[in-house]
Amino acid sequence: MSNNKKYWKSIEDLQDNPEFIKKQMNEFAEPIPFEALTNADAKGDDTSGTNRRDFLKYMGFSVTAASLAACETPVRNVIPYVNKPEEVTPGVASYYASSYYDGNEFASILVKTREGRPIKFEYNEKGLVKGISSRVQASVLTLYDSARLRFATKNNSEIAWDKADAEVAAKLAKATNIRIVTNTIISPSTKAVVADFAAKYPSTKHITNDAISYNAIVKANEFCFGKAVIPTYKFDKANVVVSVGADFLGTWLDVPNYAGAYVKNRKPTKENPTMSKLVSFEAIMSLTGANADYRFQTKPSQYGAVLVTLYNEIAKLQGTPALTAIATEYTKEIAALAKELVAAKGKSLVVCGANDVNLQKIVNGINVSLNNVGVTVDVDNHSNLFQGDDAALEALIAEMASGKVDAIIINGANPAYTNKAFAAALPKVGLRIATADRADETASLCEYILPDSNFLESWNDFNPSVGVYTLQQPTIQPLGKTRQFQDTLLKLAGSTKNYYSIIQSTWETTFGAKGELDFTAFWNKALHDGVVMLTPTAGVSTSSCGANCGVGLSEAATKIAGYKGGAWELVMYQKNLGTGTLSNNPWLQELPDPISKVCWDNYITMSPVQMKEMGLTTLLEQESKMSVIEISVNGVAMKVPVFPSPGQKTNTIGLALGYGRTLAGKVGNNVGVNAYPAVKFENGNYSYLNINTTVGTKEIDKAIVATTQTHQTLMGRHIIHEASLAEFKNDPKAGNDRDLFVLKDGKTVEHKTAQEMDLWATPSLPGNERPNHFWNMSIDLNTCLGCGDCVTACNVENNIAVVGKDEIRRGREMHWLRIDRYYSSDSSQETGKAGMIGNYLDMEIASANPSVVFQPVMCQHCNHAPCENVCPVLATTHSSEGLNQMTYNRCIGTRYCANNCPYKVRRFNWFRYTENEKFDYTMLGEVERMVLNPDVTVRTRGVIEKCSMCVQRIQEGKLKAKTESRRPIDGEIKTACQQACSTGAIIFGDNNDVTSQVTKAKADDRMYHLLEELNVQPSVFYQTKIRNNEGTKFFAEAEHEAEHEAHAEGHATEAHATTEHHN
Amino acid sequence: MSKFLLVLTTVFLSLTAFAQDGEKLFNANCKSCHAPTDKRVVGPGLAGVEGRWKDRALLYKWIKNNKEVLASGDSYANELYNTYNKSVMTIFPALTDKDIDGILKYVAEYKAPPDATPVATEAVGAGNTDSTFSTYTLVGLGLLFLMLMFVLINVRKTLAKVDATQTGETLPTEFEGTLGQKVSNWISHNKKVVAVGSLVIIGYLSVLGWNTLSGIGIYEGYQPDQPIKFSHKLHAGKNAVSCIYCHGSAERGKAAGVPSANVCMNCHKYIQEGPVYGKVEIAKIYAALDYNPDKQTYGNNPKPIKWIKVHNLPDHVYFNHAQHVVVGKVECQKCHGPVQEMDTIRQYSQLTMGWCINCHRETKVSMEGNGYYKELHDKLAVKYKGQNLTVSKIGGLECSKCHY
Repeated sequence: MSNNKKYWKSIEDLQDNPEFIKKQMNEFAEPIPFEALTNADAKGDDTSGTNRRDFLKYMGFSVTAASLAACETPVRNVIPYVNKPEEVTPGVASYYASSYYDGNEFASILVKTREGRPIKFEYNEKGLVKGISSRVQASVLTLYDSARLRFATKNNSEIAWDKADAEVAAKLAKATNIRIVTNTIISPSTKAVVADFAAKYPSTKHITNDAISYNAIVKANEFCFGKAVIPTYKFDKANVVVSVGADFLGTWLDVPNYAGAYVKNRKPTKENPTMSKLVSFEAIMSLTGANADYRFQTKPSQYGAVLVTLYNEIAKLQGTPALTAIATEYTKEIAALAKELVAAKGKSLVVCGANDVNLQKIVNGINVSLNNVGVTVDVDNHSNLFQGDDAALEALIAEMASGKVDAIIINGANPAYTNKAFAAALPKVGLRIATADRADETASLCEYILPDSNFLESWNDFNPSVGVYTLQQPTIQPLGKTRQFQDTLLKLAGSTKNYYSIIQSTWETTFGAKGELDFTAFWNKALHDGVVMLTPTAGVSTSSCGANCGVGLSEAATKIAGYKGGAWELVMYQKNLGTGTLSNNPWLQELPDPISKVCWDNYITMSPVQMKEMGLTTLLEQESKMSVIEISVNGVAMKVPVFPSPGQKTNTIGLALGYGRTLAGKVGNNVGVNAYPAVKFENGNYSYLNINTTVGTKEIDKAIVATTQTHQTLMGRHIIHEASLAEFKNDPKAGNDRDLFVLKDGKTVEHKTAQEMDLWATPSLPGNERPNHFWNMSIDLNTCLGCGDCVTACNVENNIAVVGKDEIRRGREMHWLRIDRYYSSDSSQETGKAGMIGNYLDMEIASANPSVVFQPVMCQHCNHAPCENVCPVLATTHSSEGLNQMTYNRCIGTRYCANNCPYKVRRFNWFRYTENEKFDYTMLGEVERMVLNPDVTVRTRGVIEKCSMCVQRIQEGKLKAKTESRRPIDGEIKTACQQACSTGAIIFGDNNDVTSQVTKAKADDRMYHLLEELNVQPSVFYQTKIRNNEGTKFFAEAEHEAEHEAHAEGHATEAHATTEHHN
Repeated sequence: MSKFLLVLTTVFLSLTAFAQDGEKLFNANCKSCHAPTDKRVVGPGLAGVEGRWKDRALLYKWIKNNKEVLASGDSYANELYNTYNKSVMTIFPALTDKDIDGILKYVAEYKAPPDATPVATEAVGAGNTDSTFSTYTLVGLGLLFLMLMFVLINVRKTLAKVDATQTGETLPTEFEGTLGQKVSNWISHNKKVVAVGSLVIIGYLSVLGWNTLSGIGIYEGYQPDQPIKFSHKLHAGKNAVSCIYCHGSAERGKAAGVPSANVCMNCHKYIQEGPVYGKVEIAKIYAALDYNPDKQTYGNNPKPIKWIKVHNLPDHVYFNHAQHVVVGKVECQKCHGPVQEMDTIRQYSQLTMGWCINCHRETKVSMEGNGYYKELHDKLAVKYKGQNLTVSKIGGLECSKCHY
């Protein structure tokens, strides 16, 4: 039952395009460019062929040149410190506890430095989150970003700091209306500094502007609970989670915190087969929807209707007054869902992603009636993030436009990019000061740019949520003549103190009052740990919604009833880049989107069915381009390519924010389209849902979209094992048919495992054992959310080259670790036998709301590795610890190994990324390349590379154990991907250690190997995915209604697909 | 200050526990603060020290634990303490009376060395002359041999002519023609000689070519001049300073590390004059640190010393000193050669992959007493009964041990 779904990796895969099939059979989608290799100016010139003679000439010259060059003795210097700092040992990394905060995301981190250079971030054990997001990890590159300003400027030319300070202070003294615009400040000391500044210049007003606003939640909470805060959501305490357009596993609010907590309740075991249930109502396919147990395609204009209906159903069950009913397409499902929620009263959670105060009020009403407030919604131990006030910014823009404001200081925000009206009004302000780290869209409109230092060069403190205090410490001297914002403000306020002393005095006051008497000792410990956690106060349970709440909810419901969607509705969402602050980061640009697997672009997501109806290209090949259409929203016309997204609600489109930067830097400029102009101020907040969008129905242009999804196709093979919770309860091995290898020997039929049929000596047999270590890795498909944080971690750790859009399009990405995303469709096992996946063209309708699985794939470190057998030069060999070793210096680039790898995880270096001007990302620039990990070889052109299981970390851990005369402790050695994963889906360890986590995982009933029938005996294995989506009442009812055969969750949606457009 | 002296002394003590003669003991324990002459360093010059103390037993006591003597209120001891800026002398409880006798004997018999002569340079020069001489001799001998051959051939020809004239035989007529024709004629008449000769020449050239090519990139014997004429022979040899004292990170990380200038100052704050180059070379350390030895102050214009790296490994090789020095308990000299005898450091080993691999094939892993290897040793002892457990047997030849 659980195994008869068919997965297909892309539309092309599904449609079985012969051209595509032909191409995907090849390991490298393009022929090898010998011409380009031997002919320097063969760029696009096909006629200028190189003949054999030329080749020999070049060859002869190269050999001679190489031998001549080799004869010269290189003189290398070794320059020791004059005074070596005590904590530095050359060749040994030092770690410093610090914090990351960029206005959108907070993280407690450890900064890994080598000889004084920060090169990587790891999560801080003392912090709340046991993982680290892609954005935080990639941000180490911002330090070495060549777009950063190296000195203060006035009208684009350098100005000395003391001169700038004097000029600005003089002008500020005369100003009568000073405004400071920042992102949300969560630093107590910075707040003190701003207050000091305001005391010196009494006309100062501080406006908080978040790039993406969550202001409606704050407002609703103020209305309902009297607390203008973002609550702490406790997904680990919820047994039923309902998300209405909130991508809390992808980009919504404080994702790393939520993801880690959410999976805590998603780990069913044989002993305790329970897990939470996630129900998602959404328009675009988000990570949350992809991971949901039930996903209902819902138009943004219907989000309110869904919430009101849910409220009413719960009220009906509990006998409380209901609101004015609003029709929705999912009446029955919501009724069933309400029953589940009421059954899980006090252990459930409803969240909504719309920045609309009316919707958020209803959400509060639901959570209150379910007794969730104080349990899963904690407004007492609230988060301090996202305090941006939308109305205040609108008021500021009006003030600026009228010329009232005569001085403005902007820090940490880029409002000219995120808000067109702000950009238009800014030049009317007399004195404009930006403290951005680069001349971005806002700073370039300012007279003075007093560049802020990078967070790795500065001191700071943070209070991200109630009771959590963290410090940020500099790990490198400022690379340029920059000064941190707080010191600039202090200077302008005429203070003689520096910011460091302010932080210390703030902390002394805060913690002295809390009984920390020996401040020096306390400070040193706090600095060492990076985090100080106070015991949280017990959340106050609220079962009523405040005095004015009842009326408020009816008012809200009345307003929601008035939301009428147009022909098309638009959802603005975030991708890997987040809000656009980190646009100049090549690692993030090249990280494939979790769902679409597109890099280096934003695009319109649309239902493939509708794209076909409109005659748009749904077929993606490396040379074919995608259709571009024009959309008009909020009075702004945009031309954007369209990308098919199965699962997208019909007549809705999605468009990512954070792209289309014009002054981000060489990497981020003019990538994609800026969607911020589509954001509208309505109902008192910035709305990221536009329910009345005009979409051009004709293709007006073509554009290249680069994606990694059509490569490395695993065809229709049985590679995802999955079962429902009900099946898992009956049989822990459900969905995991590992020993179904049938041998037909005459009349006998045998059932054997792949390993039992082995021809060769296996690790358990004499002569081929692993006497010392046997490194294994387990990947739990059940807790993997597909976010891609592991991919970024791998890139940063292993010096993996960024290749750019053009090369990605050719299938030449270098990522050692990829996350395959598979859409499912509902074919039965019988039809599956009929032939290849291409025969299932009629499945297209059924897959309109597919379930999605993610599968991280890296080198599987096969113990019978097919790649090792075919290497003619023994460049890839096996170690006695079970690692498949890749020796770059031996590799001659035949790529036989890549062709013979069943998992397609080997990558070929087509270019010398360290010297080729085309790849000006992380390895070319003198400054940028300081981020490289000195313990990992930078590969040259013409060699294959692949996952090494972070052998440098293994060796480091082993050495540490040896010098301390002990065995490595389980969990002590972590691979980079494991380290980054906040859900703990990746476990790495020694299988020879019987007590290790990975040994236990290997013995688990859910364990299986990828392509097990090949019997390559990988050291990496997977755990079956379990979905909590069967045997529930609301599902059963909905299904009965639809008169369908029971088994897939998509049906519920499908049944109603023809009856939508109620509104 | 006292703390650092204590550390210094402990390091020295541990190194010289076996040393019995006075000079070694003096160098190890006293030299950093005392001169054997009457020159003041940190503490007083020791010349005539025996005469200054009223009681030899008290002197022993003073050297072993000066704090006790000071506490006892001895007037001379306290006077000494005050004269020398109340700087605390390290205590030496490990020294025996016999050791102290040895030290005092050394001090008493100490004669300042005559003006320093660059002995080392001479030795190197002699070596060079030696090898040059032999080459010239060979070339000269070769030339002499060729000339002799030429003369003998001519003599033989002339004799044959004379003989022919006397006997009236007709000589075979000389081949007429150009030089080229003559050569080809000779070749056609002496095919065997030519064949053998060609083989010899080809063989010789092949061997020569092979040796030249296989030597590319190998810098065995590389001995560049360093910016400071630092002598390992003096420091590690004569003064027996442990390698780890300066190259401490060899025990902690992959790089053995070149000591930072402040490490030099642990000793050279006091030793301001060397035996060979006097103050010249030590002054370079001071220059690097912007240190004024007279005023004992540091300026704020330090410039790091730009040493020339002698031992270079390719970038794609990962080598870790700690693994070899701490875990493998390999002597530094095994790879770096007799450093204690080198004035200028020289690359002793080939540092090629073959060299690494050979060592891994031959070297027994030092597993005793290391908890990491305990279980592995028991397993392998069964498997390789009677054989040495070499590095290669525990995976020491696998690629990703050094290449990643």
